[in-house]
Amino acid sequence: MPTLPKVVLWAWERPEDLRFIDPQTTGVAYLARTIFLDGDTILDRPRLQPLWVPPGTRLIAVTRVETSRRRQGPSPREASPAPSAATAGLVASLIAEFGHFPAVVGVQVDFDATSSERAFYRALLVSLRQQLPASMPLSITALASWCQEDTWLADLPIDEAVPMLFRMGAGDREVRLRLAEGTDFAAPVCRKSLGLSTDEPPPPFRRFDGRRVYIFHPRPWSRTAARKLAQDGRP
Amino acid sequence: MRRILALLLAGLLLLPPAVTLACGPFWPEAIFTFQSRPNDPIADYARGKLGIPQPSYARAYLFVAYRTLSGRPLSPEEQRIFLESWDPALAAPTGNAPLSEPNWIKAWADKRATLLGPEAGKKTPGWHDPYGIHRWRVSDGSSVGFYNCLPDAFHTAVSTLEKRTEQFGATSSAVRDWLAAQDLVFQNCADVFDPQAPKGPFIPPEAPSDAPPIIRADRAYQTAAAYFYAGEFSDAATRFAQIAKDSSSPWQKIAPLLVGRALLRQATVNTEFGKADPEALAKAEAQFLNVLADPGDAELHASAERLIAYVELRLHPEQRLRELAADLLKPDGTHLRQNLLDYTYLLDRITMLRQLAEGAENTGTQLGDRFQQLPSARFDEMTDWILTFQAVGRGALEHASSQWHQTSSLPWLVAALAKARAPDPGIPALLAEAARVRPDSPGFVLAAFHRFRLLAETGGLEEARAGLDELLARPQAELPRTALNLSQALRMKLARNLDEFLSHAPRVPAGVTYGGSERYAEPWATSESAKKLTPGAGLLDADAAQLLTRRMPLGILVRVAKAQELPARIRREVALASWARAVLLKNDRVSTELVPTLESLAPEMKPDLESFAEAKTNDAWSFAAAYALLHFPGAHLDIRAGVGRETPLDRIDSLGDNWWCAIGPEGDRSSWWLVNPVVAVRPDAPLGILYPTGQVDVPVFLNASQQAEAEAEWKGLLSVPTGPNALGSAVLGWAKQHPDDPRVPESLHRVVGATRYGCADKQSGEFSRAAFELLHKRYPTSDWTKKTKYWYGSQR
Repeated sequence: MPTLPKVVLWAWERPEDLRFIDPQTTGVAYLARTIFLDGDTILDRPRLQPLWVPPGTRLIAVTRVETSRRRQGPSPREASPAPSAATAGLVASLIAEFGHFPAVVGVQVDFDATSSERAFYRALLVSLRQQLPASMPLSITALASWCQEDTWLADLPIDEAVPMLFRMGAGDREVRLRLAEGTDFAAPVCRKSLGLSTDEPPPPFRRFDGRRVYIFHPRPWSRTAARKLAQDGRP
Repeated sequence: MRRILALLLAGLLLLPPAVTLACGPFWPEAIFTFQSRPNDPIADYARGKLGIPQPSYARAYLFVAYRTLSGRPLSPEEQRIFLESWDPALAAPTGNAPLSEPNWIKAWADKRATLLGPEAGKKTPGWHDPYGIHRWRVSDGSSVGFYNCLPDAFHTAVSTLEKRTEQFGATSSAVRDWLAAQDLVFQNCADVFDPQAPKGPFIPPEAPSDAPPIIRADRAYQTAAAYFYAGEFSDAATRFAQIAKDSSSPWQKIAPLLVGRALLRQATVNTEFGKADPEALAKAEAQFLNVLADPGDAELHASAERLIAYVELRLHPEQRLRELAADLLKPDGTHLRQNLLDYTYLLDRITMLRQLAEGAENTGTQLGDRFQQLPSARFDEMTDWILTFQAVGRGALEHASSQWHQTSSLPWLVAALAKARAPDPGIPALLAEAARVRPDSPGFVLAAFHRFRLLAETGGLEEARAGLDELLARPQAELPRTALNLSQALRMKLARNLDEFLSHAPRVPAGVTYGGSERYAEPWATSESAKKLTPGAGLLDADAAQLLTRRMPLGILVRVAKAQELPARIRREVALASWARAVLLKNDRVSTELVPTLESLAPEMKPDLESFAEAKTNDAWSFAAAYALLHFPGAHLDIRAGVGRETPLDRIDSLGDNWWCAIGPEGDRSSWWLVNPVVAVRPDAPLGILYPTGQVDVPVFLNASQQAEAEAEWKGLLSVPTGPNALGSAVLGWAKQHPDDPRVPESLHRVVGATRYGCADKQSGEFSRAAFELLHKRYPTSDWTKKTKYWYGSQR
């Protein structure tokens, strides 16, 4: 993925003024749309909040896909019925729109897949790959546990799976221990990048030199936050 | 230099607040006091049962608080609208404008199908959601969506098509021609992404000269609409203006409004991102005012008023904010939904944009020390109160106190109370006034809680305790769950003895979340987690859990484990952790004393505990304890808050929560990437108001000897290795000395398992390999050996 910058700031659905970044070194992955799925019912919400970036900024259009877990079944732990393959194709066509946007140099899909939803997401990504221009990088966000243990990432038609090393929940300590000990991710597609948040400790960076770093900030980005990031030596 | 733009325009649509990145897997997290919203049922809050509102509440909830505290509670109708328009789980608006019924986009497709046949009817004007069809505004690399064709447009098309069909016949050339033109109009709704496909704009051709006049008038309207949806707003406005002058057109009446809408889009869509063009907005506003001034356009007045409000929101945000605040204080729910959406949107925008401009780090809900820079005084009183209540820092207290002195009003009294911290000199006056708030006042609980908190902070401990006991003795219906929990937390902090501590440590959660966020919280009472417990049984919040984990000596923990008045779940948690601690700290007396208690609370442990109790030597004792612990991966050293580990005690947890992790040197930040799970339990907000440092204090009822004991034990725990290593060490030591003990093969097998499923570190692999090799070398025919195919650790 040579067109993607090495440092990418995630800009979520809120007014974001990122005109202070250096577009030569830093890109922006902005939440461009959110697609809610309840079975095969699709609710597509485009980004409706302003985003400012300097000219020449390389953008990655992020689509967040959420499946309904709320008030579904007797326990929220239970996944909703997985959407169908037809819905996967339709959702892929919505995401593929970004492949034609000016300055968009990559497309990223952000999702949480339960085991029963993996077939759906696989179908979605296969369809999306087919619909995107061949040269357009396709990235996904990935639970660290997928990268460390699972094999379901292995044959996905993606260029990059970004291990999300924050808000890791129950597997937090296990992941941190392994990374601190220098154990790399088992899935090769996870060895190209890292997903970090400014409000959680990062892994020892020297072990991961050269990887693309995506950074989430829980509040609107500011010059102060970016400066602090640089002072902290991350990435 | 041209800036990259992006702009919000969605008709009158607003989005909920920012979505937080969330990752699975999901596990239950009990919420004792909500940060962003009241607890369920929200209807109680809307009715005026405020409890203890938090500064971090969404502003819509603080609006309700202000109305209630200022003697203007929501009417039943307003309560209904509020509850319908505000998603209690999301603590956010329920999204956009109400969904139109029926779905006019689908109705349009169906109508086409009836005329052209099912195949032709399948043609849809583009991807749509229930709110319409959106397009992307793309400029120099940035992009944002806006809803281009709204359901009303399809409603109008369906209605017109029905009329023309009735007038000319479904198969007439007039209707066919009209339909073809309308298809072109709607072809502008969505973006065209196919590089080979024509990009548009798609403008219908002129109507045939021999077409009926009404069809020609329709065509003029269709053409103007096509320009409108294609984003050619200037052309659209000119054409709608021409229609407005055509007295023969059935579209003459609505045309002036559409001129305004075209100007409005020009002002907001085709402009620098985030900065609506004020001149164009003013033109649009003037146009809508003209519509409003024409008594002949009465049926358009409601639309004009809404559009004027939309313009005002952007053209004069602070003036509009004042108008909205004034409207929201009137006991009239007619426009409550839209007014509240606009009001909170404006507050979010004003505060957030100001922070963006300042590079501030504070969010819209926590204004922090930026309070001084927010000229809240120039806002109306309600807005001033909300911003002040949300703010932290000395400026907020000074302003709230000043307002209270000027107004002597309840809202400002409680705001000042909530901001005050010892040793502020104004506290005595606040306390005196707070004591006068009557129990039937909607601010009673809020004022009482902060009064007792301030009394405690300023040395009035006995008065605070007595007051809290009185408050907690009030009928439960008067205290929302979160207020009850927060008051109990304060009372627990002031406990004079262990009994008082135990009375207030267990609390019933208000909600539970499975995604780590209040966003997805559901009421506790009906949750799956609650169903696994005795109805009404309390759990430990972070303050009690940290106190038991960090400050209590084993001697006290034994008493806690035996306390019959505590819920069994808490007793078992305490008994198990205490027993494991005692074993690891080699405290024979405590570990033995706890056996009967633990057997009654965890009967599945009985055989192992009996074996442990029968051990005669220190080595046998250590091994029996390790053997028992290996059977129970749910054993850990910390006493946990909330739901805790839900996997049965004797089962491996699939998410790795098995045995314990090494606590490690406390305060050691050299490896700060590793978060210590034991010391990470902190009484954060809303409990943070009681524990500003994030650490609980040593309980006053512990004497010096008990405190020293607790510290010594904690020091000992800091050097306890992680679970798999501690257990591996005990088992390997015993196995070498007692090769004939029939428990050894099983123990070695379980040690290997612990290094796989437990909290392993760099050394764990050595224990794993040693146990594996000893098992295979010495017991090659054992069933346990056959089950042990690998050892674990080399991958770490």
